Amino acid sequence: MRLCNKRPGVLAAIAAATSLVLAGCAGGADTAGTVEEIRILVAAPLTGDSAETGKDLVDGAKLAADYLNEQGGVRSGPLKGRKFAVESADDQLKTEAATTIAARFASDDNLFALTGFLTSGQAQAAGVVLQKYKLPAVVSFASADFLTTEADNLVVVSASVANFARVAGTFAATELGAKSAGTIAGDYSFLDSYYKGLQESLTKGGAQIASKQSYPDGTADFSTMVTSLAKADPDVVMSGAFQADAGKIAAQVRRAGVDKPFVDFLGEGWGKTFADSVGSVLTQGDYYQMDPANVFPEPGSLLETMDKRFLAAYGKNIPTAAMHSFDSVLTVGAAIEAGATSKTDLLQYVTKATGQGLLGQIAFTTELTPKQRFGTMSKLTGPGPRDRELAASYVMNADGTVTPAK
Amino acid sequence: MTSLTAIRTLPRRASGAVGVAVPLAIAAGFLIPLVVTSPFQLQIYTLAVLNAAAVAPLVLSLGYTGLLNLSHGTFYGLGAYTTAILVTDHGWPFEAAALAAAVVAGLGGGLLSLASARVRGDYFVLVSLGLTIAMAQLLANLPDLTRGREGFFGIPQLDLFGLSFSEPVTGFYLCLALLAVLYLFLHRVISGFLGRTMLVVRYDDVAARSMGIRPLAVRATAMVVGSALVGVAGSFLVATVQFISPADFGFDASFMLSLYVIIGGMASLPGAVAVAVVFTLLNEQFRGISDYSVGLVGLAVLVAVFIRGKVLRDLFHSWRAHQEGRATDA
Repeated sequence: MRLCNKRPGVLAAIAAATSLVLAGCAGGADTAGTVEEIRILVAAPLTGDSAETGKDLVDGAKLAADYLNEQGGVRSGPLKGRKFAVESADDQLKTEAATTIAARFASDDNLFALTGFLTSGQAQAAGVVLQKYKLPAVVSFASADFLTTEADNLVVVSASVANFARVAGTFAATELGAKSAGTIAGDYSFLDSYYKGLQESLTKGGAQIASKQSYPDGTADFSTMVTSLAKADPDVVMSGAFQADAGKIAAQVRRAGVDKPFVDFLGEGWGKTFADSVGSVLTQGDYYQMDPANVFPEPGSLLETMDKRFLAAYGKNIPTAAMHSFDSVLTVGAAIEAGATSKTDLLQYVTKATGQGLLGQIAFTTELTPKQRFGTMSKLTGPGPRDRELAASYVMNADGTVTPAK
Repeated sequence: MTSLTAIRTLPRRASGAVGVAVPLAIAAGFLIPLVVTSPFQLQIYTLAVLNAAAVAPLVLSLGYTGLLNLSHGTFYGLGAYTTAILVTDHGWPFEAAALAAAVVAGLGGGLLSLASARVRGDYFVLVSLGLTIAMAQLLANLPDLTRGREGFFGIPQLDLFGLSFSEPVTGFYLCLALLAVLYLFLHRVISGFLGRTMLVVRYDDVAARSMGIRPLAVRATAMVVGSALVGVAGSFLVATVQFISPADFGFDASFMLSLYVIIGGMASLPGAVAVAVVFTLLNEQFRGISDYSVGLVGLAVLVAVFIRGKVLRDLFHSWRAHQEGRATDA
């Protein structure tokens, strides 16, 4: 009798479970498209705190697809004439989501390439899944060294982070004439690579680190570190902090009476968040920002053209994240023109790909890292994102050297 | 059966149905790789099963002893990190590392349970929350041990008894087997003397003591066993994903695991497992509308509270009484 009473409920529960399984089976159907298109999936955080940067990644990729399609799509090779299309997937900045997006890419024959990823952790997690299917990903924005050393299926579009620091270190030693630097940065493992590059470039320029301060994630009061740093009396203060922290640090450094140049070596890009955190002391002393891109495009250049189009379409100048995803799509396009015909052979043609991107030439080493990238140092002249003037520009080479740009 | 009786007994009947359907679904799950070959779908099912395996042990502490423990995700992470460190940096076999993960996570749970001797209710929640935040900071800021905030990379391909986690099908089977074993074990525990003892402690400390039950020992047992088991689930997560980061085990993770148990019916093992699986699948199905996912979870909590709190039944009862009163007046 009890079983009889339960039976409808049991059947309903089983039906619900079955429908979920079937719904799951149908999950990939929304990606169906014509085989004539080169469909590129962009993984980016479209919700949460990093949603703005995530949207920049997607918008940059769409801009690149439009740009390529205006030129007739694929211009040479077996897939000549195919058009490009971009799809996005919200990775929520979660490892779990990165793995399912990678699995979706592996499952869906209509997808030709996977790109995006804001953090190195997610790119690495996706890379592990893709490794099982011998598939690559073109990592747009993340560039920790372990993406190259621990994986052989991840194409890294951004320059090595050690080179970011080399640009800032070279600038401090040669342009600012610093003989000693006081550094302050979060106690993060990925900063080891930054410090390696910074130490090398400072030493090469005849300078040294006089005070090295680090803080745990979540620190709000930097006064102890700032006091220690002030005691060392360095010629420059160099910040490896994310912009919200960097602004607070700069404010506390100035209040401690240190008016020496404040130089960024993280390369995240300072914006409104930095200006808001610094507050009124923005006029006290000089501030120099590092960008892993040429943020002062020449008239008529591809970057200037795309900057204008991005401004018209999205109401702001093209951000660094969008430049990286733009070049990621161009990299896929160039690999196809070099001979790639499917996602399984994309990797072997990436090193043969050539072209002009926003970050520099599209050309990769056998380590799947860019051969050259631009790096600029700019001096802040006000709180707005474009309130700055070019201080120096450099070329970051794959062999770890940094040379002044012509 | 009248409609009023049907409404009144709906939660009980639904609970009974889920109690039968979930074990059947776990058993039927072994057939999934026979009909689903897409790597994407297998990956989602594997993660859904892993989430269910992580949630199930929380039923002991949260559901059966009533400790609102917001550190369950932290113990999941402790197990995961212990395994990652041992297999990657010290060359331990997965089986030994998983055992060590259980010990480390169990010890963590034991330490937290000691807090329940001093503080109860809201204060215990705060203690567990503090532990979660502190542990997330620790994992992020010990780069030499944990690789820091960017996450633990370089984890080798792992296998258990010769079956590889890196193969989508065998990986799914291993995770489903873990869920099945945990489910059977936990079902035995909560159906037996220990489960009934936990319920007594949850409802009335004084009554429990009068029966010779030591509430602290019971809570500690629930916490240690629950934490150790979720530590093993953490090991399976590492073996499956081969990458972990501190962000995966912060407050959000613990909060969501607790919500799954609450929505599933607090002291309902099948309910918690079913909710974890359903929410993981829905999250993937509706990735495009993930802006609303938090709202949907909130809605699910409200519905669960309305049903479990008999709000719907009482509303129906009032409406029915009102209708009958009007009919009598007429």
